[in-house]
Amino acid sequence: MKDTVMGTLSQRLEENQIQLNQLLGKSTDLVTKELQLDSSTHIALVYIDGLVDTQVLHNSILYSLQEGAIQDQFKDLDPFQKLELLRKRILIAGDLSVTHDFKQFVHQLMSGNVMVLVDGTADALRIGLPGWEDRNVSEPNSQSVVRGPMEGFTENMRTNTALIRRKIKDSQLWLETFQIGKVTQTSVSIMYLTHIASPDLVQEVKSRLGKIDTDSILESGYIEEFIQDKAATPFPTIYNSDRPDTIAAGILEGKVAILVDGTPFVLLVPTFFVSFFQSSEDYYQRSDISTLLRFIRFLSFFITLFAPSFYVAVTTYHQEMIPTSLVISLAAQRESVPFPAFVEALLMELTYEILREAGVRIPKNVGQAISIVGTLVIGQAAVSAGLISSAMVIIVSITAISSFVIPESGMAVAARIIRFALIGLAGFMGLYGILFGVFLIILHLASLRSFGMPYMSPIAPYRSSDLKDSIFRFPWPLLKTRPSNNKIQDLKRQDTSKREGSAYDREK
Amino acid sequence: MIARNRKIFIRLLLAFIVPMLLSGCWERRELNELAFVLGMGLDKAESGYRVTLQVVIPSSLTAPTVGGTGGGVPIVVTAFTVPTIYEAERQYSLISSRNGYFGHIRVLVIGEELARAGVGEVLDVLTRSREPRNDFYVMVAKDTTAEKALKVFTPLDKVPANKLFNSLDKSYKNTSKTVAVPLNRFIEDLISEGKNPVLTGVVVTGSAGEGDKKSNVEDSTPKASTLFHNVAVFKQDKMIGWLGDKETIGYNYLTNNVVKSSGPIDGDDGKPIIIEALHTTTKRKIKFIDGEPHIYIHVKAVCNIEDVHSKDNLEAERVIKQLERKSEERITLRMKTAVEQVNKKFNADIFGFGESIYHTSPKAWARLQQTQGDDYLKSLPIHYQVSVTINRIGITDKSFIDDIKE
Repeated sequence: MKDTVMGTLSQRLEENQIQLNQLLGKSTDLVTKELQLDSSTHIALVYIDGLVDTQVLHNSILYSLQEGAIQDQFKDLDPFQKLELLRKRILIAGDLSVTHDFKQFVHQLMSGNVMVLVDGTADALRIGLPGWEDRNVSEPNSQSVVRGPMEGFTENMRTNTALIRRKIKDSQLWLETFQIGKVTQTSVSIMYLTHIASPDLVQEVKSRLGKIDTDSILESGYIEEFIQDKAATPFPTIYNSDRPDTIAAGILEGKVAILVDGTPFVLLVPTFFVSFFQSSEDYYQRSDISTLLRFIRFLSFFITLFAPSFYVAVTTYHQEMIPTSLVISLAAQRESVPFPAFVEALLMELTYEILREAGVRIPKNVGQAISIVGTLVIGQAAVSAGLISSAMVIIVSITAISSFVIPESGMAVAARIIRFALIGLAGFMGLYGILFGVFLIILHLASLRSFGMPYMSPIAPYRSSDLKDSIFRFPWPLLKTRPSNNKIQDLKRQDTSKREGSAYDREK
Repeated sequence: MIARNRKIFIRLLLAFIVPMLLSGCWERRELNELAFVLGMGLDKAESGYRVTLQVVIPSSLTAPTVGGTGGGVPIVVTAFTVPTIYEAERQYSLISSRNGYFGHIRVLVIGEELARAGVGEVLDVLTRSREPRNDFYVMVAKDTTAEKALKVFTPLDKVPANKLFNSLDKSYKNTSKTVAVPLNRFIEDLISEGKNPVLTGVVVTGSAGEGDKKSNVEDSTPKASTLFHNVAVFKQDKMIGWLGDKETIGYNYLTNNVVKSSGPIDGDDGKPIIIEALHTTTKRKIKFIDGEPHIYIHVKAVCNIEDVHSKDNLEAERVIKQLERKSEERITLRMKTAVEQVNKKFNADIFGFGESIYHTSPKAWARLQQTQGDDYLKSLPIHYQVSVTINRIGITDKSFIDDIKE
């Protein structure tokens, strides 16, 4: 296959057609429209049906080509001049370019361009007329907010870049595109603010993207796994979002966005642990509320991580730590439970994970069945049958609910994985085991890097100036500098001059 | 280099993980395999000790729908005659399907006979064992045995040990007629220089024989019940006698343990006005005058007027000042009588005056010990100063009694 895509186009129209047909195996969506403009001018329009906007093709291009007046102009021109004439005078619609490389020709053909071949020249005219069925810009699904923009990225990369450009109208917002995937030839773009983002970072992103050698990129998740610093970790080191405002905010902080054609999920590097506890809404509502909500998110993370293991540890090893009346109540609930608390917790957590997975996969119209089975059978019947204690149901429920508080699901998934390990440690060694697990987690987190930058920043290494927008969210007027953990070039976000009283204030 | 580091890391990890396997599941106990001992009683037996364990039955305490059967008796009380206390735990597993768990003991009741004979030896096991938390209250069963006191069913708090714990907690805060002494403080006082411990006494009233039947809690007035009365005075680890209510109040004032205390003050017409102390702090200072230690007690009390039988005009500042002065006198009297009574009857330094002197000047304490021996209390000069502020007189001023029409 490699050999056939090499070389340049032939001067003869027929030869090109034969070669193309051979290459595509006579695929039925390949349309070749031959036209004779005058006695000596044979041209052919080649495109893939469904990838081009046929309405524009018919109304504008074919119409222009068939205007009687142009036929005179072709006299006494050699084929290349004819092509130039077509490009400059006749076909005005769409963006145009000339190619003579066969490989590029095929790629452009596959990307939704109409290719114009003129008999007698080895050059082809490309008319950009992409027009395929697209999903409209709609509300982002993965990170809902109450207040904030309700538009989300789509599968179309051009729409996505436009969504970002509409938020950052600055010439310094640069966009670079690469084709990755030998077979899929997926467009992957990076967007960054060239006067803010660290040049080293941009270089590193480009080089990591350049090193990807795979046949297909179908989603940004492929890219994420190829370019992340460390594969052996449950924690996500690359942030993804389908919200243009979140990505734009990241770019404004000197991060690099990686857009992949065909998916609404855009990647953002580098990423820090605290980023996963920030929602774009934090910046749209009052800072005090946002700070409180961030605390609640961190708390929820700890609950979802430790609640079941802590329960197991305390009830099987450290009964003296529970208040007397509570321990008696728990003992009463466990009276008829046949399993040890450890098995009970594992069983319930597993059941919940199964329910959850089923809930995601199940067709929407049978979805109700799952909730009935889930709540009634697992929740109530299991307790009244004496298989599990109601305290355990409460623990598993609060664990499950807490996991949904974390705005980005990647971190919640990490917590799910670690939770099971912690339950094991707790069932085995009690609080001592949990502490051991905590140490391992902290050591691991401290060793993580995202594009060479410490994952736990600004907590470790500690940067007090960055705390104002990580654990806390200070009011906007106080966020004078951008986070420094990205090693950005320009720290200053806004004027640091003191706020002076307005005329209104002074009058009073 | 990296390979070497990795090798070291793997070895360290192994050294870290392998010992942990050794301790795996050690001490793992499920909640439904434990018999929670909430109350423990110690009595003297003809040979050895009589140990009473009050074990809670968890399923009887919760709503019947969850798990167990519900209802039934909330506790099971077992008593053993054993040579040593620890033996009781072993004996318990002979009669029970579950192991006794001592981590949640709420009260330790010591029978009067044992208390008088000395408690030092029996308490060691409770401080040595890992399980008990040492913050449970200790009390002495007055005129009865611990076993009998622990067998009495209680209506409101279904677990009698809980009832004893909570009611002691409340009563010392509300009346100052008891002392709430947890085990760790009791032992601290035992070993402390110049201080002797006290414990509240618990008595069984009514027909004690009926207390251990479930029918006891089926009457609106239980046939038998437990209540706190008097305070046991210890000299070293032996109990030597009982303090009355008034002395106990004095004791609590002297040791800065009063949370609330109330008492009548006579009005101008001789009828009582009840005044309650709400915030009380006692400061104790030791001064050496001519080398001799003097104790200075300063009580500050903020009081409210709670109940008025007298016809005094409470709106008058003069009357309030007078009441304050009378209250001061009364508190001073309480403290004085407490010290005098204790000196006369027991000659035991339960107030910790010796300890205070020792803390201020160990040399002076040694000298005092040499010159006076155990009788140092009798000649110790104590200076009392009480300042009472009456804060509120309630939501009415002058009593309506005066206005009742004939």
